[in-house]
Amino acid sequence: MKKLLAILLVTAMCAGLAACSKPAQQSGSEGEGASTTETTSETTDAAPTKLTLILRGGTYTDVIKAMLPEFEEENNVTCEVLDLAFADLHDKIALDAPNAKGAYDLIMVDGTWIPEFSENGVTLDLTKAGFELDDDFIEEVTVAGIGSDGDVYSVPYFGNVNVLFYNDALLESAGAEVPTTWEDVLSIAEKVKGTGKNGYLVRAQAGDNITSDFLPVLLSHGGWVFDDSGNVTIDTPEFKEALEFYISLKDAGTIMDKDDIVAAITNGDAALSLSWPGWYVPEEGGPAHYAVIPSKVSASSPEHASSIYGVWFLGVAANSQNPDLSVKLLEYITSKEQQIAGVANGGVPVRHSAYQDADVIAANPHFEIVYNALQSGVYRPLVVEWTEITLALGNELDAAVQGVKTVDQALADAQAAVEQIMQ
Amino acid sequence: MQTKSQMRFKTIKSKDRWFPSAMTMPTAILLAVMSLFPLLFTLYYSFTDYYYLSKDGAQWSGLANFIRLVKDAYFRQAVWNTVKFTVICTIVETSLGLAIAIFVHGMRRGKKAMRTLLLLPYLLPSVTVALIWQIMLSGNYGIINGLLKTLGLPVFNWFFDVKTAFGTIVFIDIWQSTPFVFLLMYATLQGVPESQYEAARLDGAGKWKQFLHITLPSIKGGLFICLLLRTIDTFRLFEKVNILTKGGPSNTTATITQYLYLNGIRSLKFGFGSAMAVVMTVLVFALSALYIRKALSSEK
Repeated sequence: MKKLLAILLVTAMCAGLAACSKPAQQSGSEGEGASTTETTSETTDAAPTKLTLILRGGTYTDVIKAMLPEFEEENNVTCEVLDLAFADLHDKIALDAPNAKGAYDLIMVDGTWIPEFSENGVTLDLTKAGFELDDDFIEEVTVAGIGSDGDVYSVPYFGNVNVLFYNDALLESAGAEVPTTWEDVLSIAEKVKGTGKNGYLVRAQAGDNITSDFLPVLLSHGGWVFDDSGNVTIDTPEFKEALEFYISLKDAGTIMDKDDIVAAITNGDAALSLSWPGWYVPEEGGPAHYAVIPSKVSASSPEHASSIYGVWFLGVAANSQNPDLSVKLLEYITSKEQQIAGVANGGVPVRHSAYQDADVIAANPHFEIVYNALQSGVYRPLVVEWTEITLALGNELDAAVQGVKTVDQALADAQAAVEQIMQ
Repeated sequence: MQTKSQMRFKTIKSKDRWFPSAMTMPTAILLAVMSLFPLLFTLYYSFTDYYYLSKDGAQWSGLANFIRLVKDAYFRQAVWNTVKFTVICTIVETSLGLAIAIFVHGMRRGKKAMRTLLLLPYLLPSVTVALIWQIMLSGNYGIINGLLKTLGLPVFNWFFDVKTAFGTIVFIDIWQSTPFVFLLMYATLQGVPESQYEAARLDGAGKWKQFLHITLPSIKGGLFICLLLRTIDTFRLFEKVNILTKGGPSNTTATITQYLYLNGIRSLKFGFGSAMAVVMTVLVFALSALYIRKALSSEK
């Protein structure tokens, strides 16, 4: 009986293993089947080609999604769109990069990732693929997408640039005009704080958020992370002055994240903050509007360009299985016509022609401010190590803002950490 | 010289040994592939400078990653935070879960409804829990601050203040995971014979003495398993921290997994990330070993 049971069980196990191995054989044949299907599609031209787009979620994706049906119809293509959070987007693109056959075709890239991606062969050399930037693109914005060899690796698509975000009613109640210097910003913020509301909101979360939120203040104080020779310039008087000023801004308000900042400014719970045009579309007579970020600390201090670019670029994955079609899609999305059409869905163009279109400006008066900022913005340092630097610098800025470290100590530690990263 | 029956016994014994081995072999192979293989690779990579996008591959770097970790004040703080999270959450969740289990076990009516209601937080995914609490504790439109304002109490910037962020994350974890302990303890309590309590009551033992001398010894095994599972789970705390605070403010909520994600995964420096994973595995093993040893000795 026991022997019989043993034989039965062993037979069952073998059958199980055989069953397990069957799908493997099937998957092999499926693979062959897939290639046959491709061949068939090539010969009959009937089946549409599938392109996979990996994009930053939110307005950035919504604008592209609205453009796709026309392209799909004209080119016999179906597009699968993956919309992801900031960090997930970076990780997924990078993790797929070493594969011989990539999972993605068109990829959305933050300006700060471009050096890392282009130097490591993640993005396709678009110049070699026949793409050329025309003069209609705002030249200052395109800089980040051009590699050290002069070739284009990514093309600007969404003109995000730091702007000052304010609540009209609170500024009026403080008896103030839109501020043009940082001292004005602080003075208004302190007045509003005195009424029990938040004067200024800082986005002082560790990492990239606090770094991006602080850099405009640093620029207006004449400081920067590196000098022209590439030396780290964090532990400097300009940096210290800027950080102390940033802390006083926080004291005139509080720390919030993106969603809370937009809600607080539009609700009238806070007066001022920095923002990106992709976060909120101001309306005529609406509660909140944009202004150019002050380029001076005080009326008598020197002027410095102080808007930070947060431009989103499009590139083609170097391991894309449909590079030609992907380049065609990229050209289509960044074309003059689609840049203008995208405005209706919340898009922020990167072409001169869009900002010179009377209808576009009439419907979006804040674009005049965005256009000015786009022509005088500053890219965060375009170095491969920037992701690591934001983390190290962000940690120290956060420690100083929270009062866990003195400003001097935080800057000394940040200087040492960034120097070590750059070694 | 062996007798016929001795030889037959030996044959059966060897067959008996062969059969279980054959039956467990597929599982053993699967486990080796799924666990041992990645473990060995992680160990190997921890001694290299493996950068995921590098075309040169991984170069041997000896103990450099481990030295960098030990020297990094933020990593040391992440380890300390993780230990604090683990100790506080495990103790509070286990005590609270056990207390609730005893209370529900002793209820005469409404047991089923209570059980279902208590389990609800545990049924939600951690990401959902984090997002719900993020909305409720928002400094701008959150219901909690709204309630405090209405009551004339001070409001807090829960996730962005060094004084409140750590406690808030601990509270959310306790809210979500106490039902798990409750469930396990409640099931264990079903196995304690009622006759023992009756005998104790006849002998004049009060509630506390009944708990100390009957309940606790009877559920000791389950309690150890519970402590072990909560320790391992809390030690890996990631989603809530990553969504709610990203390790801030000023690194006060950073955990080892959060540190690993930011410094190893996001920067694509998998060699450094592997070193962190190795350190974390050793720490979890060291913590768990205490429970496992204790549980095994109590079984004997």
